[in-house]
Amino acid sequence: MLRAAVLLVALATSAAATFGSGIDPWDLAPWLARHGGLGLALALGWLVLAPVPLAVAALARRRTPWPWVAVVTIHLAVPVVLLARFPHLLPGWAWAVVGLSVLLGLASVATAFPAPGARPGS
Amino acid sequence: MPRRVNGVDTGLVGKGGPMTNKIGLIVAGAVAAVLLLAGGVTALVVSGGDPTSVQDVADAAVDAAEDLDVDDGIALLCEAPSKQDRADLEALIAAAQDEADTKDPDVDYEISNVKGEEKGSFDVKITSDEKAFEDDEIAVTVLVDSQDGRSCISGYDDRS
Repeated sequence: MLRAAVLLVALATSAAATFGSGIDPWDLAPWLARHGGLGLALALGWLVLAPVPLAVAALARRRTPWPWVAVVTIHLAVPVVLLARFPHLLPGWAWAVVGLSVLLGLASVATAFPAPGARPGS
Repeated sequence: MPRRVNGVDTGLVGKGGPMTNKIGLIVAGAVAAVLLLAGGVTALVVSGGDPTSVQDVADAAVDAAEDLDVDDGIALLCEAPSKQDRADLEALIAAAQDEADTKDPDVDYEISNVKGEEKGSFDVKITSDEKAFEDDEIAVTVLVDSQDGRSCISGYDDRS
């Protein structure tokens, strides 16, 4: 349930960054990479493509929770750093979305580890 | 309180079912610490260099242009660069590189006519010692606005 919520927020963020931000990330990310802003380009690319690694990690969680922990950590760190670096460039709703993402992400990590004796993936 | 089954600490927290265990809470705490550290360090580094006057913006803009630092350049803007802004800049860089026949043309930036405190404008004259640009000069008036105590570039007028 929590993993689904994290994925849903990531999908909504990706859709908002792609269609609603007016920055055209598919054009901006390669432009940044070409002009020395590789880190920024990767961060922007992550915001748009995050649902894919998150979905893969959610599926792999039946075997081990660690891919989910790693991907969620990156997924939360990227917008937190972007918000801290460019607070004036991001729209007001970005703060609420990042806050919600962090709460859901941390809760999903806390519950990702099966209790001793529990069936993996249950 | 951890639940105990047959006298053994299961590590389960809460009185309900196996929702979470100690490892999950510890890992979530570690992730939260990483986020606090990453966000906090970034905010500290950035807030130390926030331009608060037109002069600050002018100095930072020249530094970013000389270092070709896109990250610092974007941070000086009031809004994320539009597709048209990027296309204009790309065309300008490509034309300069093409004419100078080098990827990194030698360019000088001269700031003058700094007006205002938190908001205002400044003029930039861009010249080059490259043979191809000996007679060329770009003159721009950069407009500076103030948002939440931070001075930023809101636009420019090409005067050349």
